[in-house]
Order: sequence, then structure tokens, then C-alpha cells
Amino acid sequence: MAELTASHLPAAHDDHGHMSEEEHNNNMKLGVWLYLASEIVIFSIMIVGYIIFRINNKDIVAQAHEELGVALVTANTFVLLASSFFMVMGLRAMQGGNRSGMLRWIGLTALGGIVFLGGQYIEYSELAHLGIVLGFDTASEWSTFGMRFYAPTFFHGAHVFVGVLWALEVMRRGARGRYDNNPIGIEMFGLYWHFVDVVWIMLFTLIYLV
Amino acid sequence: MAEAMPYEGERHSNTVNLLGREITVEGGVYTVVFGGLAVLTVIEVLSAEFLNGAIHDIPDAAAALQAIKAVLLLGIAIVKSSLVIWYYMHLRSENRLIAIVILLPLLIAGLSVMFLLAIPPSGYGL
Amino acid sequence: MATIAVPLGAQGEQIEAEAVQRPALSEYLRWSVDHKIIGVQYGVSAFLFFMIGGAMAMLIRLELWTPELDVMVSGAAYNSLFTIHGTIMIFLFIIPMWAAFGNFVVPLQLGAKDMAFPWLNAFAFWLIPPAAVVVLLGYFVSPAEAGWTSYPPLSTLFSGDGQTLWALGAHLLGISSIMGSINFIVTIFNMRPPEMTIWRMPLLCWAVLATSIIAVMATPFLAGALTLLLLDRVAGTTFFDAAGGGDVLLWQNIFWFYSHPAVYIMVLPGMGVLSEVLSVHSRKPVFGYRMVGLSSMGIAFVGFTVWAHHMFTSLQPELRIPFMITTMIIAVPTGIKMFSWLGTIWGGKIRFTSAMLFALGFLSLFVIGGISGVMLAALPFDIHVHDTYFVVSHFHFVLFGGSVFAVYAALYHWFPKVTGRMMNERLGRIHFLFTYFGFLFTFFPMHVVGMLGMPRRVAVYVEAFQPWNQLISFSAFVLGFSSFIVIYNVIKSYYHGPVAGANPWRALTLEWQTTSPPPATNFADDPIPFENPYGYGTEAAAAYLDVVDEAFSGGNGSP
Repeated sequence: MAELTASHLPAAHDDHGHMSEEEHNNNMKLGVWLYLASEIVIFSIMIVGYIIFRINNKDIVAQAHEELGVALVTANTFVLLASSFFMVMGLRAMQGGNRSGMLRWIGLTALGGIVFLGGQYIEYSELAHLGIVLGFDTASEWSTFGMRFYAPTFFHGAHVFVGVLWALEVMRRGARGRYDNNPIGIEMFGLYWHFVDVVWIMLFTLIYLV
Repeated sequence: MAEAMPYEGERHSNTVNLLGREITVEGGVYTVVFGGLAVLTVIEVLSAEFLNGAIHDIPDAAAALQAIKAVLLLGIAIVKSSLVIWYYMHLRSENRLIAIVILLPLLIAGLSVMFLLAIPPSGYGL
Repeated sequence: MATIAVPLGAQGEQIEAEAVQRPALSEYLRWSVDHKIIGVQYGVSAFLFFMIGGAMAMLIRLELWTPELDVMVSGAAYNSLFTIHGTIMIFLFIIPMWAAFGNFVVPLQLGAKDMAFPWLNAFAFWLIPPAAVVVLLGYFVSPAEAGWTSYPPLSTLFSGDGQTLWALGAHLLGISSIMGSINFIVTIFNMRPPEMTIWRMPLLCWAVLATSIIAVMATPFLAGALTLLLLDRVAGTTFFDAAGGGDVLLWQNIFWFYSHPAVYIMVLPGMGVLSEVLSVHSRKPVFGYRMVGLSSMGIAFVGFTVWAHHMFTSLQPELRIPFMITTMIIAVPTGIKMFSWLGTIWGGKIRFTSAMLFALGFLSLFVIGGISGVMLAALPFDIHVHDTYFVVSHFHFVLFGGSVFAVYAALYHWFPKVTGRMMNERLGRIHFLFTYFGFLFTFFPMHVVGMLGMPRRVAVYVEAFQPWNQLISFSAFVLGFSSFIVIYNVIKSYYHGPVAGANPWRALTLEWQTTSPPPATNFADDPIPFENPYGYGTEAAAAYLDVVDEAFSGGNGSP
């Protein structure tokens, strides 16, 4: 005959229905990483259309590279890399308890994103001037290049735009002291922003250089 | 490259051990990584321009040079991405589960992309 | 001598008194972050879509009663009808339906107080109604006609504007599915109490984990493909149009990158349900617990390598054999599950409850669907029956005979936990008989007409097939009727069913070690899982269950 004991467990939670801060942070981080995992797959599909085109149409791509040059896009890449650096410095500042430092760094991050979008706008205008448009047009020699180029870069640009909005929201909340005790919100935004940066590193090499 | 350092949580040191030498710089390892990213980007752009010139000048070796260029540039891009993920996204201090979470889609997406590149219309004539 | 710890607290009785109160029905119509409410919201709305999609199936069968085009105004109307039928059943019924049971049961089984992200959970659910409106609106505006697979150029050059709305709706549903799955993965990894180790997890949790991993990794393929499709339709690009330098096979590949793993999204949770139900109702431990858990993971991973078997007739010929091999390999982990289920009920003390009947129905029908799957994997045979009713029969055997039977088994099994009332067993048996035989005589003859060469997706067919089609249509109407029995049963039992008590099935998993319905925080104390979630038939298990019964018997008693 088995012996029965009724027992209580030591409470693993602070109180019923609420998670401890550490559990909460771990959940948030894992959730963001899983979200980024799904983003990897979407971007791979957006990029693969370009790569297939690139392999089959070397001449059109070489011509596009020549027309466009790399100066503007290299500058833009530096801006985005720098904004990623500002981002991580912002997190570092908040972890060190420096709220105003954090606000300064995140502000620079958002500014970097805005400058990047401006650069992309200039680039798109130049391309449109050359007759490279999104839709298919039998009259243009660029007819099949435009969509393969715009789809991944614009999709990335949209992510930068969302990131800028998120940065402003982080600043608004940070200014009210939301992250003074637990900077997880900044860390989550950081993960997203760095991921967008990583995507750009790959796009820059695949689309503009190779 | 900077050596992996134990994650410091709240305390951030400005000292980084780079190639056996102690370097003190505002921002510590983050600044060093940013420097690395910038240098790699410059190398990338310059080598792309140089190889483009070479491809143009030596049409006989164009295919080989094109392949070298692709491998070299993609290699540098992967190193840059890894630096960002490892240091800025703090993968070095996260547990293994997160590494699996990020490697699994890379594997699946990588295989799918490889497959699409291997079949017509892009493959075969490659 | 074993020492058994039970989740018995001093407040046991007091909790009982306040928790037996069911949530008011208006709770279910509002935004709520309680996973139990959200689970019911998912379930009821998914069942509503099941009835809408089912009504469309009835119309399809009515049209096929005669070989001529008589019910529909045109062939195009028939095309849009089966397109919306497939879309509703897959995107709006089966996938949300498993989110329903996952939401209600998984946190309880783990011993967690809620999902990891309650707000995100509610948000994922509330994306479904607008998405459904968009999809259905498309049907009434200018319907999509390209089938649920939406192959271009049908879906780009020929289909109406409804196709654009279809793509938008599918996009929203994909986002909802990804958010729900992220929630499940984080919950299962991070929200378990320390005693609930990974090898003590009930098999439904294993199945939901595998499903969620597939959903997070595969659904973005669909999102990417749909984005390109939308650009093709709206912005004038030609990603999938050969005339503009595009590639139609690109869509087929990317679509099946998602949609083949997605068929496991639709059936894996059902397999988890089956392990639960068979074990509980035959009072025996699950045979090969670890292998069953791992086979879910195996199916998830092999599932990513078989997509091109949907494209045997459009794929490069030299790639067919590799995909034939991987497709046959995926039958292995499925076979592991099948033998585990047989081993579980073998020699058990079987109770033929309605839940058990539907689980046994699943066993007998899914094995037919599985075997016709292996037949279709064989290339020579597939070329012969490609795009015939044999294929229709195969996927209805796995999706209706498999998933829907598992949904019904889960409904009869967990209804007492959700509402605190037992379902009517007599009605349940009648429901089972109508469903089982209606199903069998609807879909089994489709094998025959398929082999005889009747193509799918046509409203007009050769007169020689009419007797078969009349048998199929008649049985389909019986099958359609059977779903009204379960609706009546649910409504009747909700109000007048016998009170269930905490643990009417005397099951060992944690969701039964609390009141029915559970209190807002799920457990009065942190629950202690029994050493083996399926350790039936031992003295220790009986003693554990006795203590649980005693703890929760406060005034209710089991029926």
C-alpha cells in the first residue's frame, strides 16, 4: 500500500498569476528570437527571387551596378551599422543606470534609421529616373530587374521604418522611467534592430556588390 | 578579433583584450566590434571594385574571378553578420536554446534557397 | 512503498466553492487574456467555420449528384466553391481548432497558470475574425477560383479580385498562426513548474510543441509567397508569370515548402490527442512514450523534406525519385505512432466512451489514409491517379478521418473539464455511428472513381460515374447531418448534463487535478505531477487518483 502525503510546494512564483521578473524577461527574449526566426525565412524568400535573376541575367545586373555606383549605398550601410552600435550603447547605458545616456543613444539610433530611409528614397528616385520601376513593362530594358530589386530592399526598408517608430516609443517610455529597473524592453527592441542590420549586411553584399 | 569575454550584466568594462593586448576604449567590446564592422565593410567595397575592374580587364578569367568575388564577399558578409549576432545581440551569453532557435530557420531557409538555385531556370546552366 | 505527493491544499474546499462557477457566456464575446476563455473562443469560431465550409461541401455534392452542370450557374462558380471550401476548412477550421485545444489544455497539462504571453494570445485570436471577413468577402465580391493552392497563372491572370482578398486573409491568418505558435513554444519551454520535466510532459504537449516549431519555421514561406503573389496581382510585377521572365514553378515550390509541413500542423495535435484519449480510456500506459514524443519531432523535421511530391507531374523528372524516397521515409515516424496506439489499447480495460469511439475511428480511418499516402508516394501510381478523386479521398481520409475525428475525440474527452458537465453518451454514440459510416461511404468510393479516372475539380463528369457519385453524395448528406447531433449534444449537455466533478475519467495528467472548470489561476496550489503522466494500472496511480477525488469532491461528487 502506497503511503500518501499531502504537500505544499515552495512557491516558485512571487504570487499567484504573476511571473517573476526573470521568468518574464526570459519569455520575452525567447519570443523575440522566435519571431526573428520566422523573419529569416520570409527574407530568404524575398532574396531568392533576386539571386535567381542575378545568376541568369549577369549583364543587366552589371549594367545596373555601373549606373548606380556604390558610393550612396556604402554611406547608407555605414549609417545603419552605426545606428546598430548606438543601439547597443543605449542598452549598455540603461544597464548602467544612465537614463539620459540611454535616451541620447536611442535617439541617435532612430536618427540613423531616418537617414537610412532618406538615402533609400534618394536611391529609388535615381533608379526611377533611369526607368527602373516595380512593375513589368515590355518597353523597358529593365523590365524584369525592377521587381527583383525593389521587393527585398523595400521590404527591408519597411522593417527599418517600423524600427524607427519602435525606437521613438522606447524613448517615450524610457523617458518616463519605464526601463529604470528592467531594461528588457530596450533589449527586445535591440534584438529587432540588430536583426534588421544583419539583413542589410546580407542584402548589401548580395544585391549591390556580388 | 576580440576574445569572448564573460557577460558582465550590469557592470560594463571599457577594457578589451585584443590580440593579446589590453585596450581601453569608451564602450569596450561594442566599440571594437563596430570598428571591425567598419573595416570589413571598407575591405568589402574596395575588393568588389577592384575585382570588377579585373573582370572587365581580363575577360578570359572573368568566370573564375566572378566566383572568387562571390565567395570572398559572401564570406565577409557572413563574418559581419556573425559579429553583430554574437556581440550586439548577445548570443554569446544566451543559452543554447536561443542558438538552436536561430540556426534551425537558417538551416531550413538555406536548404530551400539552395534547392531553388539548383533547379531550372537558375540551375543546370550555372 | 512509494510516497505520492498530491496537489492537496488547505484551501481545497474553499477554491471548490468559488471555482465551480462557470464564466458567463458574455465573457466569451469580449477581449479576454485568460487562456481558457481564448481556447473556447477559438473552438466555437472554428466550429462555426466548419459548419460554413461543410455547407459548401454539401453544395459541391449536390452539384455532383448529376453529371451535368445544374446547381451552379457556371463552371467558374463551382471552381470558386471548392476554393472557398478548402480555404475555410484548412485556414479557418483545422488550424484554429487545434489552437483551441492547445490553448485550453496545454497550460493546464503543464501545471502553468497561463500562457507565456496572454495578451499576444488574445491578439492572435482576434486576428481571425477580420481575416475571415476578408476571405469570405472575397468570395461574395469576385471569388477566387484557383483552388486553395492558388497556382499561378490561374491565381494571377484569371482569378477575380477575390483572389487578392484571399491572399490578404491568408496573410493575416498566417500571422495569427505564427504568433500563437511562438506563444506555445515559449510556454512549453519556460512555463513548466520544476517537477514537470520534459520527459514527464503529456504527449499532447509534445505534439503541440512539434506543431508550433513547424508553424514558426514554415508559415513565413507562405507569407513570402503571398507577398509576391499580391505584388503580381496588384503592382504589375511578374514573379510568377513566364511571359514577364517569371517562373510559375517558384510559386509551387515555395507554396509547398509551407503547405506540406502544414499538413502536419493539421494532424500532429490530433495524434497527441489520440495518445491521451486511448491511454485514459483503456487504462493503460502509453506504449513507448519516449518514442512517440520523439516521433512527433521526427515528423516535424522530415516533413520539411518531402514537399515536391505534390509536384510529381510538374517537377524535373530526375528529382522525382529522391522525393519519393523521403515521402516513404516519413511514413516511419507515423508508423511508430500507429503501433504505439495499438500497443496502448492492447490488453487494456477499454471503456467505449464516445471519446474512445472517435479515437478508435481515427485509428481505423487514418491507417487507410496513411496507406493511400504511401501509394501516392509511389511515382508510377501517382502519375496514374494524379488530380483524380483518389487524391481527394486520400487527403479527406487524413484530414477528416484523422484530424476531425481527433477533434471530436478531444471534444468528448475535455468537454467535462471546460464546462463542468458531462456530454450525453447515448447521443455521442449515435453521432459516432452517423459520422463514421457517413464518412466511410462518402470517401471510400472516391478511391474507386479516382482509379477509374474521374478528375477532381470538375463539375461535369462522364455519365458512367453517376451511380458512384450518387452514393458519395447521399453519404455526404448523412455526414453533414451528423454534425447537427453534436451541436445539439453540446448545447443540451452545457445546460442539463450531469455534473462532471474534477476528474470524471480518472486521468493522471494535470488538467484533471483541479476543479471543472478550473479557477482563474488554474490551480489552487502549485500542482505536483504524478511520476508518469500515463502510469495507469498501478496501485500508486489509484491511490493518487483517490486522493484527488477526495480533495475535489466538495459537494459535487462524480456522476
